[in-house]
Amino acid sequence: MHTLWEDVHYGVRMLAKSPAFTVVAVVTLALGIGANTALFSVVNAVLLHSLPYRQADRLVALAAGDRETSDPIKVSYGTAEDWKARSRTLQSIALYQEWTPTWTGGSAPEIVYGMRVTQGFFPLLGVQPARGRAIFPEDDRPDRWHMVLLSHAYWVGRFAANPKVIGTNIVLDQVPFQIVGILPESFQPVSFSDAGSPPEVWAPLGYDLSLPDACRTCQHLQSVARLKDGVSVEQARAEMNSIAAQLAQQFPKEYPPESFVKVTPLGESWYGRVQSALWMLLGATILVLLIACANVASLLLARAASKQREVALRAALGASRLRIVRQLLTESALVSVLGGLGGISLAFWGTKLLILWGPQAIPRLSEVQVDRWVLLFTLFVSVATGILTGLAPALQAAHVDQREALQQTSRSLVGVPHSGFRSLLVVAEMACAFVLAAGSALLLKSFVRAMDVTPGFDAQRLYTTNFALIGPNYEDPKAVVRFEREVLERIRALPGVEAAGITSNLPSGGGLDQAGLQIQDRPIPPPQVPSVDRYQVSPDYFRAMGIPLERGRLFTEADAAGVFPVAVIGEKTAREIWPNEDPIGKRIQLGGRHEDRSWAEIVGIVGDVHQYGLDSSTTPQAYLLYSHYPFPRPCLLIRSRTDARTLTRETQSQLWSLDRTVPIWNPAMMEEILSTSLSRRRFTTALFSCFGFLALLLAATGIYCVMSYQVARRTGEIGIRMALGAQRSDVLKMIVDGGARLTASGLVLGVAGALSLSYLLRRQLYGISPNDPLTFFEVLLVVALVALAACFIPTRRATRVDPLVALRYE
Amino acid sequence: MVETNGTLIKMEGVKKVFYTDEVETHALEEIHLEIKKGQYISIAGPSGCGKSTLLSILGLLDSPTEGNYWLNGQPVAKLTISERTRIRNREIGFIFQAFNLIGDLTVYENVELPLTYRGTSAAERKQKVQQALERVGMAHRLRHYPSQLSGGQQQRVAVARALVGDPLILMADEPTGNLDSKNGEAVMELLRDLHRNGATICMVTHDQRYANFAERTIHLFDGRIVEETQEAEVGA
Repeated sequence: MHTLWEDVHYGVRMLAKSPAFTVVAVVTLALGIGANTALFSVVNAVLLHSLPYRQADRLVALAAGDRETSDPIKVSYGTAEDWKARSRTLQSIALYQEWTPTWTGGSAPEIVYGMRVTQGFFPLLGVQPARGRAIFPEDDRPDRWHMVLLSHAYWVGRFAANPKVIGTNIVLDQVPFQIVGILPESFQPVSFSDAGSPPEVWAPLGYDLSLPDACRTCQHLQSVARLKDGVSVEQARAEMNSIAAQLAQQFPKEYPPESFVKVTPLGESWYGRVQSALWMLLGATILVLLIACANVASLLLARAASKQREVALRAALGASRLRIVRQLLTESALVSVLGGLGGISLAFWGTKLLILWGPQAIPRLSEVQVDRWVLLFTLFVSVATGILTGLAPALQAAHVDQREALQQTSRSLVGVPHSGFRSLLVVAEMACAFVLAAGSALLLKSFVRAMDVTPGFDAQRLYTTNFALIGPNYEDPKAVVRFEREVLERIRALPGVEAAGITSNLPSGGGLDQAGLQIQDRPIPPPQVPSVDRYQVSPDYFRAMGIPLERGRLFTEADAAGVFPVAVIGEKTAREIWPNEDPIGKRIQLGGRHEDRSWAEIVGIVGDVHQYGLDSSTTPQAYLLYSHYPFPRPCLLIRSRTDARTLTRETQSQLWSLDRTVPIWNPAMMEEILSTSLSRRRFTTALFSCFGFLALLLAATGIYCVMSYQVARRTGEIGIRMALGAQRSDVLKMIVDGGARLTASGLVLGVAGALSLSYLLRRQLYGISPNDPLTFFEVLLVVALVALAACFIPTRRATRVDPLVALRYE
Repeated sequence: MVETNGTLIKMEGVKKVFYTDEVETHALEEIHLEIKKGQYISIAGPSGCGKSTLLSILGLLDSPTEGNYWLNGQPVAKLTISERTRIRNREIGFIFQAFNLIGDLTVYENVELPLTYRGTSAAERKQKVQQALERVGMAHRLRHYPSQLSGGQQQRVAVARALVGDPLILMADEPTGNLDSKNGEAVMELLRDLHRNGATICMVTHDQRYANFAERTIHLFDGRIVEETQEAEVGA
């Protein structure tokens, strides 16, 4: 113990004596460990922590798919009932859907974020109300569902945690709902809702099979299920697919022949999109850490080489090899501990930034923290780093030839002895840096390409906000249309407004409203009916959005006022559904086929819009008039030269001058919405690029250190060469050759590594191949130039060696 | 270029001053020196007298602060670094006290080095390296690395490297300084043989025994030539 303390004491003194080395080594490790710790804290919170529910590993998400919907997320009530009646592997199945009722109990109407869930939802998760009662089976019926459970946060925020609210009513959508319970504070809805805010009120779904919305083809609900004990996900999947096949045979009008059930562990269904990105980012930080380790190992090797005489002397005085190794390892361990401490500080700071800048698409990001598991991880990384960086230098120093080392003053040879290991470290660093730089470049190009995508409309100076017309005043669809027409007229009259329109579904706004497209003269069996994105819009919608007319004509006010329904379709719809025909003049219905209802005549074809974000391909689309298909929760669009704040105020004023109970929410400029649609890609790209840059910087530092060390060690050799007639250009060539060889070897390995790892990036890329040769070539040039720049100062130093001084030095 | 009349080196009023911070060190003062082709000259004197500084200036590793220096009739006192390097490569062969062989290179590659910088063809290099190593009796160690040789053998290789480019003059700085007496004697014999075969040699030594190998000895003291002795017979 005493000797260990001596080693620590000596190590501290030695590090203090070489502040430049200590600072470079500690900062290098701190960057590597810090990046790793910060990313691990995200992975730990998002992917490694189990979901906060009872036996969360037994929970699965279910969705009904077919050939048209290969990656389904929804299910219908009728289908879920079919599954319940047949499944032997599932203990229970619950359904849920988002719900945004309006609360009008305050000074201004407000949207409340809520969920409607089947009675078994909370028992399935193992959640009991903290106060009051749960949802009983008899509550979950179409005529009895007007009751709610409050979230703990809403109870505290809205009702000041008053326990007496239980049993009282809250008016939502102008209907009284009885508050029957308060959910526990510990209950986290995680990703059950995509609304952006955690649900505040929870009401029964209130369905039975008699409701039209409960039909087998009405897929608008989401499902969570609990596996029976001893049943694996694979077994459940096999059984559910067998059930899907049986149902397709039994009900061929409602289930397509290729029906299947997607059974996914609940966590995976939520994190599937981000999990590959997070693992990829963690992998990137591991590469950064490896580069940092290689740098520090290289520095320690150089230090060990300069300590050969000291080590030889110690050995001559009786120090055992083990003792020498331990002493040198203590020094590297001190460096790694200091690096670890620096890394933790950086990680604290980094996790705060990650939470601040992370997109909402990453669930549980707010739970990210440097907890004991993260600290344990950092401790492990630091210890591993200490051993990784210190072992080779310590062993090298311990195996020094004592006689030769002690006679160094009279040595007759100049030049640096070959250190294959040090060269290997530089090669590995360059390879890792290339892999990360190539990944960053591919992601950056993807991001730029996604940003360059034309959304299909003009997002500039386009303002949007949502409002809802609820309550007895709007039970008559005509009242809805009257209100919307009046609002549009008032908005258009505002100064600076060029156009205004409404739509039931905002492009890139995250909404999903798909409907089967029925063609009057071409009946298609229900399972094969093509699906399109449905929009109910006002005539001026296309002008307000800047969606171009391709053929035919747009809607007119006369159409809106008339009784004959008309439709406009997107280019993709025209191309896919009428590949060899002119769709104009065809008559369609959206949703189910109803021969007794009127058909809408297609009057025009417009450009396609990116409904699901700039980095998603366009989808078949169809537009109907709001006056023929009224929609009480529209999105208002205003093209104006006025700023957003003024528009929000003026819109609110116009809407509330017509009806003070109308809630208004989500005001935003369209450019912000488009930008948000790329937030996850931006986050991944920014982080990966940071790591790529860090890797390049560290690799450049590595090659700089090695080249500087070599030049310093070769000063005598350079002097001799110059004395023998080497010109500066000869010396320059000699040094650059050395650096270039290492860089070239690293790049060859890097290209091979990047090619073999590129498949990991495939899911994150847009509009570019993971093996894009141009990108690889550009990155190759950049990395080579950076390496060359890193060699510049040592090379310049080498060419300025004065042979006379160098010879004296020798 | 001026007529040399057999004079290989001529120095007139050469002075060398080193400036460090506020201190001026006069390393050489008023050096007047002439070396004829084929002469074997030794520069002797106590430690710190300026021997090595003089040899550095003679070998174009350094330039004088004042004075003139002609090498083979060409003024070389004010040449650029690049010009000095070129002349050093073609006209001067160096033998150092510490041998200064490059550890990473084989014997062959070490000897070949001055020819490589001269741009000599590979075939010619091979021939000349072979000849130079044969002259010093080291042709059988071509592929060895310096670390595999004894001190005496290393210095022989260093001599071969100095000879390989057929220089006008060999500059030897304490060539026996790192050798035992037996190997030291052997190297001195080698230099004497080279001189007998026509080589011009300028050697720095503080050992009077080895100074006596030269036909002419210049004694330096405090940067000045204080005495010059001629040997009637080379060798003692």
